[in-house]
Amino acid sequence: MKVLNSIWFTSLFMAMVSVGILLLLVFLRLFSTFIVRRRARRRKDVVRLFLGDEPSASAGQARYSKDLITAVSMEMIQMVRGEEKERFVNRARLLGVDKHLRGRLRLGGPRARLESAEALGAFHDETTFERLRVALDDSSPDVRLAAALSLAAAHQAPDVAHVVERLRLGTEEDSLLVVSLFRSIAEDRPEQIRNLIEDPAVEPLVKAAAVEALAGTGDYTLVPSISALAVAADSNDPTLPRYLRALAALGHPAAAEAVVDGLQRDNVNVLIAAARTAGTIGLTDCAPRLAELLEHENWWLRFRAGEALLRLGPVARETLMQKAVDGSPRAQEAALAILAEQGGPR
Amino acid sequence: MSQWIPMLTHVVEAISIIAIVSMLVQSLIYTVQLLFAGLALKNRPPTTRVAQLWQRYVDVAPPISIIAPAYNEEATIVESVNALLALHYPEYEVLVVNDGSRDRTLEVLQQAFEVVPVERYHDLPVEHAPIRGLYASPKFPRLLVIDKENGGGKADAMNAGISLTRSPLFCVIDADTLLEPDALIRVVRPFIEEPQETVGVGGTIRIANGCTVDHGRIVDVRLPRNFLALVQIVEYLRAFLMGRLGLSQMGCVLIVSGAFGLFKRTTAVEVGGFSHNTVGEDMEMVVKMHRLMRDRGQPYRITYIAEPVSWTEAPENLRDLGNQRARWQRGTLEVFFKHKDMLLNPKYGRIGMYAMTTVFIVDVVGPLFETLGLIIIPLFWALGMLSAPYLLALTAVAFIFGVFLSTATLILEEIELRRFPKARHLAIIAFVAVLENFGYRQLCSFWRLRGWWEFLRKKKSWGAMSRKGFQSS
Repeated sequence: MKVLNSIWFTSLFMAMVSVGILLLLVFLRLFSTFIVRRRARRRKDVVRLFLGDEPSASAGQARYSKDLITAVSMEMIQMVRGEEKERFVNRARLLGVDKHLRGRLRLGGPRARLESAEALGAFHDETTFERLRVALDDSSPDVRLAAALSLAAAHQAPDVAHVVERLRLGTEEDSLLVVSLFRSIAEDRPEQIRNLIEDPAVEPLVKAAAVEALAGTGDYTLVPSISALAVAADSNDPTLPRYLRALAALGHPAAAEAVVDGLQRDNVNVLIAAARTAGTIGLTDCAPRLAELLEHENWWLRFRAGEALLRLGPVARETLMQKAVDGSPRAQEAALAILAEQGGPR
Repeated sequence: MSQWIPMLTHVVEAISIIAIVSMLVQSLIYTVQLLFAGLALKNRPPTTRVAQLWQRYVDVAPPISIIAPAYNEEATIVESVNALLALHYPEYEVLVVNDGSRDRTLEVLQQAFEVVPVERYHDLPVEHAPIRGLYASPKFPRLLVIDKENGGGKADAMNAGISLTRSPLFCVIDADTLLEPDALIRVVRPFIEEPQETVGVGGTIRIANGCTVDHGRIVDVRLPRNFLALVQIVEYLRAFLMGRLGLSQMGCVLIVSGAFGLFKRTTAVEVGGFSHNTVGEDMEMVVKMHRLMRDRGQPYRITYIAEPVSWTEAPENLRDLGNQRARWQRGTLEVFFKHKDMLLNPKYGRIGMYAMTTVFIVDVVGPLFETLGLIIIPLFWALGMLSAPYLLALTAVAFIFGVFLSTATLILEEIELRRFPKARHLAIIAFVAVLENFGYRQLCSFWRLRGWWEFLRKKKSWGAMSRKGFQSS
């Protein structure tokens, strides 16, 4: 009977807890609706304070919560650019936003730290930079990356080798945002990113991110280095197609050796990237090989080869049209469809 | 005769105990998921504003193709496509697959978007019915209409979309799915943060019945007046905010809904695209991906994130809802039995040891025992053949636990999404969460049993659902 009572008691307890939770949720929602309305009213006041003549920390903090002032300030800052942004950042400083964010980055939970690390990217002063540098050792990889991005956006990123080590890039962190990070750093110190490419000890994924970042800068002097990396890479190295795509982005004919080499590899992903690069750079010498690749069993390769031939000018286009007539059925289909897609004769 | 009665009573008691134990084990499974969902919530990244996300991702976000299958959608297709063309994402295209519609879906698209026949060299890496033509317009460069013969199901239409896509990622949706404008830029996060490993991501699906829709956007969130739609809101909250969030935290996501899911194209092609021989093609795609990656020993990630939200229309009558639930049950059984070798197979890690076991307990044997218990216990108790206070007490535990789970899910909703604008909405949902245990849950068990029966009869059709359409502003 004791057991039976316990079972009924358990049911009763769960029922009471459930009802309690439901009532609490509704009550909290009612309360939060009130808070939200009040917050909306206060938000308007804070916006006025922010946009007013001379906002000051004492005036703001006396009446409004730091979190609200910070949230409103950051929203305003994110809405504008240039001189207006600088003006807004200075206003936020007057309201003590940067100090509040630095405090949250030091003592907040992971979510608060991440938000703060991102927001502090707008404040360019030594105290903030110092705080962000400390955050490069944060326990959360997201916070570390956000801090690095903020520092880089402010042209204050530490030495790249140091960033790679502290963010554990290539080993624990392989976010695509690393490319953005390197791109920002490359604006000031392209040689450091370049060193990553040339340093044999650097992880391939980091190298590939560095190559992609630099490709966007249009620095042609990098072509020989990236070409050398591409030629030296193993056919099955997943970074090789990324090197070839970076060469395409740079679009310099000095990449010919790497592209020609890529077009002879036996890995289909490498062939696809090489075919695309050949077309982008305009390497007409590659046309015969591209025509051969139209026969390949891989659809993507046929597509990229055909697309490249179209880009290589009248002679290559002629080759493509010829393939449409006397190629294998597979090549004919590819050539015809690609010509038709690009508006050419069928 | 009289000597049979004690024996029969024992048999009935045994069946009842099995049924109740099954319910309690299911409750335990849900508790584990709830705990993990809570953990996921604690570890979730901050909800970033779209402008900031855009700034952060604009240079690195991979291109996405949205595959929108359409079968007899002439009434809503223009609004749906307009909404898709207005999403906030740096680089995407919309592939509308007209799956051999018998109505004027294609003509309506041609008129509205001035699409004309075009050529597009495409692959045929996955199986689907022949494509009759492709249509595009320079006025809407993001749009491509694929007109194909009807392939007998959504899987076929989605496969045609996969064949035509040239993006590394594709997003599948239903014809009646309304994506929130920022859904793509939010759902792509795992593909940016872990580009090497991520192969599939699912987002939240919510019920749009009762909400006001303007140009394919939810502009006013309200609750439906229809009880069935209301109760489905509770169910969806439980399925997504507790079930999938918890399973995602455990690394055990087995379903990325076909109504809103993002996949890596190469992996989807490697597993043969969506399967034709099941109505659970979305679940099977995910199971096949797990199998492939684990067979190869390759690190991978299939995940669910709560913030990207899409809205769908729920059935509002018993016939449609019953058909839908029976079909879901049938789909789950088809996938389970097709991949039964993964069950408790250490080679498949937590997928084999936990996720498949959960499917076995909750979806395979669960409905059988539940329905059996629901019929036998009251019947024999009424006949006086069952004097079992313990059974009643345990049944009460199982029922009340259902209420408890629903309320716990509402906590997650309040913390994570908060899409209901008013406290009154929350109160109604809370009330429905209690009410669903008296009648609706039992009805669901019956529908699931019907799904079992259809599975045994090897039924393959989807069944039609009458749609009321969204409420326009």
